[in-house]
Amino acid sequence: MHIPDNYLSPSTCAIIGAAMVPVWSRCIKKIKYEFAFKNIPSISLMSAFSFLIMMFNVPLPGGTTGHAVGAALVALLIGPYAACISISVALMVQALLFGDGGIIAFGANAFNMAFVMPFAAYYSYIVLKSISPQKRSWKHTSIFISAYVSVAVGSLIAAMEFGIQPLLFKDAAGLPLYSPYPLSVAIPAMMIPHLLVVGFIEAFITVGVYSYIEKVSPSSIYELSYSKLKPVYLVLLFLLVLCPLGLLTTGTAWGEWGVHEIKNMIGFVPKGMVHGFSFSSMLPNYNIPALASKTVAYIVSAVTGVVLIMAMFGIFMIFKRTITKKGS
Amino acid sequence: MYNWLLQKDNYVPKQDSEAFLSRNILTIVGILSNLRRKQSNSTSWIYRVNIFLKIFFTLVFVISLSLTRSITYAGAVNLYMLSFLFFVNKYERSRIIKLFFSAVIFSIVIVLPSLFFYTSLYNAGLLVLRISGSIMCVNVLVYSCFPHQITSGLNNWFVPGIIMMIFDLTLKYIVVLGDCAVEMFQAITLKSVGVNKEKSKITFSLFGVLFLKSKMYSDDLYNAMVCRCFDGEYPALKGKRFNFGLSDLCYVTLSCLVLCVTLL
Amino acid sequence: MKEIINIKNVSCYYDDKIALSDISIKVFEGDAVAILGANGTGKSTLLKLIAALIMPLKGEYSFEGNVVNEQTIKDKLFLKSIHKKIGFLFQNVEHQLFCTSVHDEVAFGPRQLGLAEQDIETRVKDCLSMLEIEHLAERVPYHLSEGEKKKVALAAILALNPDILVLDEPFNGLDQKAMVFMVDFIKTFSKSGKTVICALHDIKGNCNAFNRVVAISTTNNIAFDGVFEDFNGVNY
Repeated sequence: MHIPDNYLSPSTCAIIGAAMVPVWSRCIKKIKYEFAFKNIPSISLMSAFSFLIMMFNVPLPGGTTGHAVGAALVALLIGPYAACISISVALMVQALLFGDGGIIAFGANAFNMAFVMPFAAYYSYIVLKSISPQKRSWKHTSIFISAYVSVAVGSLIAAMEFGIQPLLFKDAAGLPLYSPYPLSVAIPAMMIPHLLVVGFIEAFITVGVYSYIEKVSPSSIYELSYSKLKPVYLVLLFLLVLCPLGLLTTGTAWGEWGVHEIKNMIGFVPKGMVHGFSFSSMLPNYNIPALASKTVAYIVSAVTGVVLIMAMFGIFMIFKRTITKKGS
Repeated sequence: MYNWLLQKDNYVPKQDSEAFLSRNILTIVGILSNLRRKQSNSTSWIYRVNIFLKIFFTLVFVISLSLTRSITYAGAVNLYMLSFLFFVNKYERSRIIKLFFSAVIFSIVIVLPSLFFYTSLYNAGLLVLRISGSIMCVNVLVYSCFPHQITSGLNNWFVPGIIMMIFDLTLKYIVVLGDCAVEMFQAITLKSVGVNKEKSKITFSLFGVLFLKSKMYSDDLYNAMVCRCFDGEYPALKGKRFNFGLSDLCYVTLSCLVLCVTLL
Repeated sequence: MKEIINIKNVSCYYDDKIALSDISIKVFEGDAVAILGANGTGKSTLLKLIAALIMPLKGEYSFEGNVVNEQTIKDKLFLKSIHKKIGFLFQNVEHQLFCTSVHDEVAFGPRQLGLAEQDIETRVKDCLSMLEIEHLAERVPYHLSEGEKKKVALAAILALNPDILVLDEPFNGLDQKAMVFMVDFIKTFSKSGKTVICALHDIKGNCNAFNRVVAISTTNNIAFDGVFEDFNGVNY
């Protein structure tokens, strides 16, 4: 799932990279609080472990072999916050010393594999396990499903990153400058192999390794704490998924009419509106022309908005820290 | 000694696929040999160029490639990076060539279907050259330096000391854990004398043992650091004095000339 | 006596350094050979060469009359037959233990031979009893002490009924009692007609276990190769 340079535009990479800054900052604070400064050796060792996991070839039933990303496994073993930092360091080593995965695209790769995947795996495991916390077989089933979900979500986000390139970055002739495939091609092209093959490989490996460690040294596994799951994140996810409900309403909200709608309503367009300020946005009315489905376009717009807000917050945090450092 | 130990087994080995063992050993050994590359006796000028300049121009080329809309410039950067093949060692040359061709073939395969519906030949060619160019830039940096040079070079780029420490320790322990993994795969190879019906289980056990070893090493490392009065601070090491020599001048001149192609 | 290992003018490199330089050794059936040398003289490299884990850069290595090189080991069945006949104990035995119980660890090898379940259980029981570790059968190998891990690894190798036992520094990390046990075991094993090859730093406490000594010098060649009685503090 490593994205090389030039498939995504530099501005996409910069925005997603900026969005990772508050994530990294939060993860470092959490690890510091949980492990004091023991975390430096443990992060390095876990990064080395994550790096090696991505390199190994695992034999699978049927005589084939496969690779794992290892994000779900690492998240379940050491917690999502430590996993985020460890996998980010592993990705940095791969980019700088092995030329695997881009340098400009490091932010996007870290977002997909160090943030989305571990957190999706961890929180889906928490939610699933709470259904039947005592049953061992259900625990393994939850691990399997959460690892699969992490791959599905990670590949969806990566597909969206690819798919919006031709919409947003075009030359004078309207032809794409970076990844040329629109969302209608990128999403099925990325998701079908990940849902049919990669997800199962990842899930199989995660359950296998977790079972071994559980048998041999259960105290080494990160203790999941249900009370630490903040409801606000679940609410945010819930709202993200439900936002297309707005499409059910017909007509336009009061005061948000366009010029044509006003003319239909009152028979003329006031002078100030005819020659007034005009602005054409990138995603007008939360719609993406290339996408046939308005629902999918709505969700894509919502995710884009959340990422942009996180990016702006990240930039603000860097700015604030620089000013605080200069002041002290 | 029991009777069965005193008798010879008339055992005829059975065929079974253990390719994953040799493949994994080769992968890890390749990674470790890359990380263990040391300063060779090569007198080639490219190895004497200051790492700060190499990192700077690599970043400039990668960013400019992603922003350029000129196929001439993208081609010029590719040719410039390929020219370094004449100045690196045999091992590094073979690695760079392999990576260049893999990058070109892979990007052509990805971009080819888009020619029919979504893009023009010019844009597709530009994308392929951009991708191969940026991969080449990073790999020329990686293979014209040695791993310890890159980490010491990053020190000059105002990267916080604690990040450098994590990065350094990660590299060291990739080598340590990699050595453990190679020995473990060799041990499995030695015991794979027949038909192994639990190949995946064995590999999962290996991952599990590596994880447990990582935890053990991290505790030991922390204790060792505390015993040497580590208090959580890692002041960045002062880099060597920057001496601008003939090799540096050559490198800067050539890189600036290539950058000027953007103006054409 | 039947010649089983013939190493002729072999040189090996490790990490761009010479690990073995123009080494020639013959090992016969029933020998108990102690390979002595200081750190970095290539003892472990020699043992890995014998176990066909690494190949010589120069020279020739033959096992039971068959040449072992990069070409011949492409025949996986030939390689498997070598691994079945040579039981190799690593210096760091932790790397050889990967099952969730000692019983499974010892049973791993016999299961691959296609033996009946009863024969497998017999072998496991016999190996555990020979090494006095029956009480560890259900324990996790990872959590055992150094000496116990060595015994478990040795039991797992013995379960394959090897003809030759290759031990890399088997006395490292053992207490006095365990060391005495290991020496007795090596003596019993070699007296039963099997071959033992051991890499050691020093032979003083273990002299009556071996009938032959090969000493590798600091220049990575053979400094001494002969019977133990003639080896009287030779400088190596």
